[in-house]
Amino acid sequence: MRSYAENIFYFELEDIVGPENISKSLVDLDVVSTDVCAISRFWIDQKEEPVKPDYVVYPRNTEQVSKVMKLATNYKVPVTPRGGGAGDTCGSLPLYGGIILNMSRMDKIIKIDENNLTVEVEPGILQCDLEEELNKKGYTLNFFPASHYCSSLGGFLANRGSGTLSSKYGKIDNLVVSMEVVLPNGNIIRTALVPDHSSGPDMNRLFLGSEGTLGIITNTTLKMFYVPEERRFNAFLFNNLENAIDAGRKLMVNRIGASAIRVYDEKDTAVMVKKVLGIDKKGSFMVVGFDGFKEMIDVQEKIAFKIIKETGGQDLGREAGNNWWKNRFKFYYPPFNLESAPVLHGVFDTVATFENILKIYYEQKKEVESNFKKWDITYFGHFSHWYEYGTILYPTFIVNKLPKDIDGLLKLNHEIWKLGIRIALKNGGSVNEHHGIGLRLGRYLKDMYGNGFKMLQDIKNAIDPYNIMNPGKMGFERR
Amino acid sequence: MYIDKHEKTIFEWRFSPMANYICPTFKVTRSESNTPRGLALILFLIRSKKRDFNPASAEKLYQCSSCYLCSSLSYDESDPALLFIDARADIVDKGLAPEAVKNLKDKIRNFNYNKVINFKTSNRKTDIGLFIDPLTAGDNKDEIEANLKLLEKAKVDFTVFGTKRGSGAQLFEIGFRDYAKEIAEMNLKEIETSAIKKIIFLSPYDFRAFSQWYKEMGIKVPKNIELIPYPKFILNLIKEKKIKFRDGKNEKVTYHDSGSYSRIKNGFLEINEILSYISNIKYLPILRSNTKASCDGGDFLQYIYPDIQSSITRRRLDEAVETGARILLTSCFYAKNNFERELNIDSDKANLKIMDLGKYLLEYLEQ
Repeated sequence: MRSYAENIFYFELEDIVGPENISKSLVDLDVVSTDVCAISRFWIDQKEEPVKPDYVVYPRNTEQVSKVMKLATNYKVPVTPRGGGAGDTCGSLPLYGGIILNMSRMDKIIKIDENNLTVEVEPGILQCDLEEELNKKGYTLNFFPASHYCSSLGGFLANRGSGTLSSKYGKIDNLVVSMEVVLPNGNIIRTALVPDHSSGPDMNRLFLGSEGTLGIITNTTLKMFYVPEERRFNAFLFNNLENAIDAGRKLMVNRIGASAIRVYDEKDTAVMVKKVLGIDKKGSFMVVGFDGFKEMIDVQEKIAFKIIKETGGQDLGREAGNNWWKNRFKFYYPPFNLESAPVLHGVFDTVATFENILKIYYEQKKEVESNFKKWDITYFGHFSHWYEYGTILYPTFIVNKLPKDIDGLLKLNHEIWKLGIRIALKNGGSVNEHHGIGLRLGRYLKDMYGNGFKMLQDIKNAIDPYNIMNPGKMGFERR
Repeated sequence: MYIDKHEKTIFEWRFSPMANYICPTFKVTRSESNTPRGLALILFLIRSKKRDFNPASAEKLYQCSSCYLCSSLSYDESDPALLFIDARADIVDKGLAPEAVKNLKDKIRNFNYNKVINFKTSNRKTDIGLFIDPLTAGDNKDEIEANLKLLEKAKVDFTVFGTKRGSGAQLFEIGFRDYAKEIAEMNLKEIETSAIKKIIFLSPYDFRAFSQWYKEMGIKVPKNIELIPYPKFILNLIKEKKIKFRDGKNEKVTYHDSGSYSRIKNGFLEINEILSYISNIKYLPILRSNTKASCDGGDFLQYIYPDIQSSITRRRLDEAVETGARILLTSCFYAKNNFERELNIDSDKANLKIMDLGKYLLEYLEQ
C-alpha cells in the first residue's frame, strides 16, 4: 500500500510538470546527493549510501513551482531547491528525502531593460551564461564569483554569494532590485520593483540568504552595468601581512573605488600563488583592480598606488596583476582545486572590522595548526572582499593525514570547524561571509544571533509550518 | 574494466562541477546526470562497487556527444571525454548497450563499402594518402570532388584510401572495440604495404582515430607517418603559393571548428589565416571558436538520441547566426550534414548557407 500511495504522489507531480520534467531514476537521484562540501564528498568516498531524494523535479515556470509546493504542503513532503549543485555547505542535500526541486530548466532571461539597466531573469541560469548574454549587448553584472562557471543565480541569491569585484559592486544582494518568490503554501509573492522605498521592511532581505528554507525564488530583477571601457589589475608584494591589510584598509576608507583587492598571506603566496600563477615570491601578494573610464582609472590608480607604496608595497607590475585576473578560475579546476586532492579541506570564511580581522586570523592559525598537528594540517588564507569598515578572511585548512573511517573523518572535520568558528565569533567575526550556512554551520547561528535566531525560527515556523522547505538546514528545528 | 585506467580522472572530476557549463548535452537536457561531474560521479559509484552499470547509466553515457569540450578544460592529463567513451566499451561488454547503439553498430558493419564512389586517385604509389570517410561520402560527393580538385590544382599526387572500411572512429566511440580494432589493424596493414608517409584527413573523426584512439586500442601508427587535417594541408599549399585565390565577393563568412581538429594536438586552428588569403571577404568568428568551439551534434548522436543532437545543432547554428555571417563554413561533413538537416526544420535560419570549406575555396581558386 505504501508503494501505491507513493505512486499517487508521483503521478500528481507528473501531472504538474509533465513526465519529461520528473525523474526517480537512480542515476538522477545519485548525482544530486552531493555538492562540493567535504562532508558530502567524504560520505560518498567512504562508500556510504548517498543522501538521495525520492524524486528530482524540474519545474518550467512559476506556476508549476506553486503547484508543486501546494502538493508538497498537502502531503507534507520535504522540498529541497537545487541550482548548480556547487555549494560548499551541504545546503542542497535532501536530508529527509522527498523532492529535489532542480531549478535548472527555469533559465531564461525574461527582459533586458536598456533604459534602467536592469535584467529580469529566472534563477536556474548559470552565472556564466547570464554574463555572456549580457556581454553580447554591452552589459555586465560585474559579478564574478569563483563558481561563475558552475553556480546558478538562484544559488547565489539563496546563499548571498559574492564575486571578485565585490569591493566596488557589492555582493549579489546589492544587485537585487526585485524578486518573485513561491512560498511553501504555493502563494506567489513579488517584492517592489522600485529603486528603493520606505514602504515597510525590504522583503528582498527576508529571502536573500534564506537558503531555500522559506520559499523558492523564481524570478529576479537585477541591476546591470555597461561593460567598462577598461579593467586593469596590478600586483604588489609586501614584506608582511599586516602592511598589506593596512594598505587595503586605506584604499577602502579613502573610498578610492578599487573593484578588487586581494591579499594573500605568506603561506598562500608561497603555495597557491606559486602553484597556479608561477609567481615565486616571499611575502604577502596583493592584487588591486580598477575598472571604468580610462581617465578615471588613471587618477584612481595614481592615488591608490601611492598609498600602497607608502604602506610598504613593492610594485610587481600590471602583467602580474592582469595575469592573476586572467587565471583566477584556474584555482578551481583539477588538479589545482582541493576537491581533486586526497585531503580534507575546508574554508571558514568570516568577515569582521579591520581591528578584528587579523586577531581572528592569527588565533585561528595558531590554534588550528597546534591542536591538529598530528593530522599534518596546514592553514593559510587570503582577504578578498573588502568593505569600508572591514574585510573578509578566507582561511583554508588542509589536512594531509586522514582518519581511515567516516566517523573519524567527520569528527575531525567537526572539531576543526568548531574551533575555527568559535575563534571567529569570539573576536567579532561572523559564522560565514559568502558561502552560506547549510547543514555544516547551522548550529553556530544560535551562537551568533542569540535571541535573534529565535526570531528567525519564529519566522520560519510562520511561513513554513510543516517544515517542508529544505529541512535540517541553517540550524532550524529538525523534522 | 576499461574505466579502471581512468582512476585519476574520475577522482578529479567526480565532485568538480567546473566543466558542466560547457557540456553541450547538459545545455539541452539541463540534467545534472548529463554533466561531466555527474557522469564521473556515476562511474565513481560503479568503480567503488556501490552501483552497477544499468540501462539508465548506459543511457546517460551514450547521451554524451564526445565533443571533448570538458577535456579541453583540464589543466593536467585527466581526460573525462575519453573516460566516458571507455565507459561505453564497458557497457557493450556487459551487454547493456541501448538498442539504437546496436543498430548503429550493425549499420556501420553492414554498410556497403563497395558502393562508395571510386574517387579519382593516382595510378602510381604516392607518399600522400588522402583518407576519405565512406560513411559520409555518399551525401557529400560534390564536396569531396571539390576538395580533390583543389589538390589536383596544386599538383599534389595522392592515393585515396579508407573508403573500403573507414577508420573505425564511430565504432570506437560507441564502445565496439573489437570491431574498431579490426578496422584499425587493416588500415595500418594497408599503410605498411603502401608508400604512404603523409595522411591527409577529410574527416576530423578519422584524424582523431589515427592520432589518438588507435593508441587507446594498442595500435601504434608508425612515427614516420605524418597525420594532417585537410585544411592544414591546404594552408601549407597556400603558403607555398601552390594555390592562389581571386578576390572575394564582399561576403561575410563564419567557420565552425570541429572539436576533433581544434581540440587535439597538431590539429587545425588556423581558419583565420586561410581566409585571409581571399581578399574582400570578412571572416566573423563565432563567439565560441577554436579550442572551445561548441559541439555541432557530433557523428553518432543523431542515430541514438536525435532530439538531443538536434537541439545541440540548433544551438550551434544560433551561435553562427549571431555573427551576422551569411555563410557558415565547416571542414566536417558530419557537422555539415547536422547543420543542413536542422536548417531544413528551422526556417528562421534559412538565410544561412552551409558550405564545406574546400568547396568554398574552390569557388575562389585562381585558374
